[in-house]
Parts: sequence; structure tokens; C-alpha cells
Amino acid sequence: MEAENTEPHYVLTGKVDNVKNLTQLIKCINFKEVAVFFASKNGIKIVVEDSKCVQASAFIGTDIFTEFTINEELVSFRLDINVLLECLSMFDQGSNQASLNLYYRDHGFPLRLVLVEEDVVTDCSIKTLEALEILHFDPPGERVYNKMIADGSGLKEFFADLDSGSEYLDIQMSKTQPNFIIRTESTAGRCEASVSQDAEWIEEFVSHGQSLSRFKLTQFKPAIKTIQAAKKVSFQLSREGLLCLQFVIMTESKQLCYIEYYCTPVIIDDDDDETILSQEF
Amino acid sequence: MKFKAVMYESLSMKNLSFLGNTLNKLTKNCVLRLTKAEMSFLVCEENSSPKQISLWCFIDARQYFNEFIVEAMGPTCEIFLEFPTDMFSSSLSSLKTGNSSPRSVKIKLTNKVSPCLTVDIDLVSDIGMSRTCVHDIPVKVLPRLLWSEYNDPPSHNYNIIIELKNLKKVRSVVERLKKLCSYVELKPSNDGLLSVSGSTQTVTVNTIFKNVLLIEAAGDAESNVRVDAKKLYSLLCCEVLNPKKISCSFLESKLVHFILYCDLFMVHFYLTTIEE
Repeated sequence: MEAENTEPHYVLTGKVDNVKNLTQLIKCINFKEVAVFFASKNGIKIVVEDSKCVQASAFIGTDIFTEFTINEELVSFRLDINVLLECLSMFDQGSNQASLNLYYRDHGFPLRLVLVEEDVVTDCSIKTLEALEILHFDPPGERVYNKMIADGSGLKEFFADLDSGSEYLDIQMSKTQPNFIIRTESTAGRCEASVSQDAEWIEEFVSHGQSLSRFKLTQFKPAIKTIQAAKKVSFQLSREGLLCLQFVIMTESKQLCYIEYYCTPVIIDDDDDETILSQEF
Repeated sequence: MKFKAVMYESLSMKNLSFLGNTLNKLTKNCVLRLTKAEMSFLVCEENSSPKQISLWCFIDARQYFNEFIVEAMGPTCEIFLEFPTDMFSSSLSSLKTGNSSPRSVKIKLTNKVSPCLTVDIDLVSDIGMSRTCVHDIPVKVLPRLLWSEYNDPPSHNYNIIIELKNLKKVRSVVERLKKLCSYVELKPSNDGLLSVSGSTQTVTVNTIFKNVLLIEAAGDAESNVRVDAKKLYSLLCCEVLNPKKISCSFLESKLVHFILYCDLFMVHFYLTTIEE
């Protein structure tokens, strides 16, 4: 109330009619405590990183907002993503949709969220921290070695069979059929799922040769969670084995949002490598 | 000493099993007080001395049960029993299961080696097979000496009494808040607002409920109470009993008293302020 009387100058304000559009996206990247929040005239980007190996970013375009104003080139800060998510999902159980107003005054001020659902109003102020530098991964772009574009629902089923007890996940993409293989190994045994590029849910498959990369399954899990919410997924492996996933997510109000996910590979021990390859070829 | 209660209505049976569940969530042991006309469950604060009762649930037994008999010595004709809530709630769980419909529930005080509360449920399955399910819950009959500890809810001159229109919303907000902070502050205002707030080092959250009916307000005294978030949440879970009306009374900054008026029973609970 007092804020309205004094009319403070906000560098960033936004309004969303259905807060679930935002929570849906943020839930996908909620795998670490701290997130970096960027805002520019194109919208908002929220980035979460883990051990300098994994980076997930959610892009929320201005079309998600019914109102969006920004008075600076770039606004950035860090905040606790769990707290942000708890605050945004304050009215999740209600049957009516809740609207959100978002205010950020300036460097050092809290991020203020005002949620309204019918006759209930929630006002949250989340303390912000200075934004630290984040990793910069180059999108593979032209240098992409293997690439696949798939339907979210098909890929979701494909990944559903993974053995979650495994420490690593091997992803193999090649020109020869089956073109796409994922493999896990744990005490319970070896589990392998393969699919050829003619599968119904694979829209596009481009391969420049065989590649095999290994990822930590714990670092890949957030991506699996996102696949479940995604409509389309682009799956790219660079020559060095860097994994880049891009997800198109349809919000409740049928707008499109994007999530990008990078994961660095782990080095495959030579012995393991040989056994895997010798079994295949 | 004799106690027997019988019910045939399925809605009451469902409510009884809800109640058993709620009690189980709140406490390990519960005291059942029986008089000629009333049946009440009392929940005591754990590890408190002197005894502090935080919840009373009064059931208008003559209407709730089809048959209700209590016989005891003494002028007041009362029985006090202490029983484990988990056993009580699991004994009533067969009232909820879908594939057989309960025909009748009998609750009796029996003497099987030790005093027991016997729950006798008569079930009929879809194909007409009937079976009887009997549970014995060991109880402790409380001696008259201890009765004085289980008083009726104290009455105070409250500063402000409000009626909550939507307990479900309050409950879901408190559910979120309890994940963020351990204490919740409740603050009613004279113009029909109730604010529920919490704060930690990283966040301050303040929720305002507008649709609150002011029943009584005396003076302008501050009446905000700061209570344990988890406890408030577990008590607000009583909302499943589907109350018709919920009133919430504040005594200065000392305590808050919730009363849930359900069809045939009434639940009172008290929460005291926890100083910062």
C-alpha cells in the first residue's frame, strides 16, 4: 500500500494473467537452489547451473506477460529458486487461476511478487543477491555433429525405460540404424533403448558420423523432467560431445516458451569404451 | 461402567473415519470423554506440564449415533478413556474402502483381559456376502482423580471474533508458508481482513484474505498471534470434516481459538503465541 503512495520507480514490472504459465517453466529448471534472473526488452531468462557442467535456462518471452516494462538495458540478480517457486505456487490448489504482478525496484532491492486469486492477495518479497557470472556455452549451430528433432511425447516414452540406478547415461548417435541409442548400466544390469530415424515421433535426423558421449545421469535427470512437459525437443551433440537440448513448451494458455539445457560429457574410460564399442560392432 | 454406541447412517460413518484420521495426524494418544449425551475427543499437548489441551471435539452423540448408552458410577455419570489414535483410525479404515459397504458400526467398552474399546463393523460386499470386522483397541480408563485435568474449553473475553469463509484456501496458503518458514503470524483487522504472514532471511510473504466476516470486535487492541506453522497446518486439516461455519477468536496477542461447526459435532482448537 505504502509503495503505491510514494510511487517508487521500478526498473522492471510485469503482469501475468495465469501464474501457472510461469510455475510450469520454473519447475522444469528447479534442480539447484540458486538461479540467476535476467530481464531485457525481449523478456525474462532464468538460469540454473550445477557444478559448472550443467546449465538450464528458461526463456519467458514478453508475450507471456500482459504488461511488461523495463527501464534498463539489462536487469540481473540471483535469487533462491525454491522460494520463488513456493511463492508462485501459493494458489496452485485453488480452482481459479491466479494473476501475478512482478516488481523489481533496483539493484539491492527485493523482487516483489503480488499474486491475486479472487478475494485473496499474497504479497511476497524475495531478497535478491548480486548476479554472478554464468557459464557461456556456445550453441553448436553450424558445428553440430548429430542432431535430432523429436516430439516430446515420443521422446518421453523412449526415456521412460531408463534404469535410474545407473551412474552414467551413454548416448550414441550414428548414420547407421538404429540411429539413436541410449544405454545405462547398474548393478541391476544393462539397459539399452534404441530407435531408428524413421520412427514416427522423430521429425528430423541429421548425422555427420558416429558419436558416443557419456553423461552423469544425475545431471541429465532435470532434462528428462523437462522432456515430459515439452511439445518438441531438439537434441544436438557437438563434435566434442557437448549436449544441447532445446525444448518448446506450451503453456496452459497455449503460448510457446523455450528451455535450453547444456550438459558437458564425462570422459569414458578406455576399457569401458572398447567393451561398449566391441559389443556393438 | 458401560458404554455402547451404534450407528447405521453411511454419512456419519464416513465422518467418523475422517475424524479418526484427523486425530491420528494430530497426536499419538487421545482422551475420549463420555457423558449421557455427549462424546468428546480431547487432544493434549505432548510433553506439557501441567496438562494443556489443544483440541476438543464435541459430538452430539444422541443424534450422531442411532443408539448411545453410557452408564457409570458417580453423580456426573462420566467415563474417561485414553486410547492410541493410530489404532482407532485403522480400525475405522474399512468404512472407507470402496468394494464393500458398511451396514452398521458398533463401538463398545469391553473387558478382554484388559479394558478395550471394541469396534464392530458389519459389512456387505457387492455380491451380497456379509462379514463382520471386529477390532479391539486397548484403552486406559482414567481414574476420577485425573478428571479435573480435562476441563471444557476455557472461555475468554476475546478482542476480535471473525468468521472464515474459506478454510480450504487458508489451509493451502499455510501449507506453502510452512515450507518457507517455521512461524506464521495471523492478524485480523476490524475492517474484515485477515492477514497470514511469515518471514525468513530470504523472503517475506503476506497473504490477505478479504472475504472475512467480522462477528465481534472490542476495542482497537493489537491482536496478532504468531504460531507454529506446522501445528497450524495440521489443525487446519480438520477442514476435511466439512464444517458449515468456522469462527476464529483472538485474545490480544496471546492465543487464537478456532471453532469448527459441523453438522453434528463441533471442534475447538487453541493455539498460543510463540514469542520471537
